[in-house]
Amino acid sequence: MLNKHFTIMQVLTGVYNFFRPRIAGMVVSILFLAIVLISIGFTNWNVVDQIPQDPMDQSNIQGIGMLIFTDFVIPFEILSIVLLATLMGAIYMAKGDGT
Amino acid sequence: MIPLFYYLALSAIVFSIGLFGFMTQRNGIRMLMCVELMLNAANINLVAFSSYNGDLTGQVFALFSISLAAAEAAIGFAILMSIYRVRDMINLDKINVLRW
Repeated sequence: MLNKHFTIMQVLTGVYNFFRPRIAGMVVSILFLAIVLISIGFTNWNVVDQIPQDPMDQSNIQGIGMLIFTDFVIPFEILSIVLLATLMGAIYMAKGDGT
Repeated sequence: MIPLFYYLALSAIVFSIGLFGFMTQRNGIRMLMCVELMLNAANINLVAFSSYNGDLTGQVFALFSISLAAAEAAIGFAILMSIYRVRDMINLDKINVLRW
């Protein structure tokens, strides 16, 4: 691969051939990116001026843990049921008919 | 302090890469990877907004979103396995019949 001598034209045609079937996808995703970036750029977010960081305790695991088990208990339990159902479904589908 | 725009720009870029990959891939596994990329971009947004508004709810929701993404990936791979068992290939261009 490294010892071959590629002319610029070969590289360009190679790149073009790689992207030829994907041009529509590229156009759509680049347009989407442009729209989102412009809309993000021109809105001023009301951001707290200083991120609440007390240098002693950098991590917020305690806060998240308190929040999960006080305000979000029901979603937490429902999430465990969903994961259990997903486990059952995935194993059943992946097991096949044992031939 | 890093302005919030950079986090949102990074998340938009990662999401559009995932979108590009999701639209142009023919292989099932690669498409599921791109779906994961999009979900992680959404998680970046969640955590960025939650830390920049001083409220931990976004990060808790990001936790839930990560576990649901794992569940979705598991189901996706189980479906791909059963398709592979029937068809011996996961070229999503050729799988266009719901009942075969």
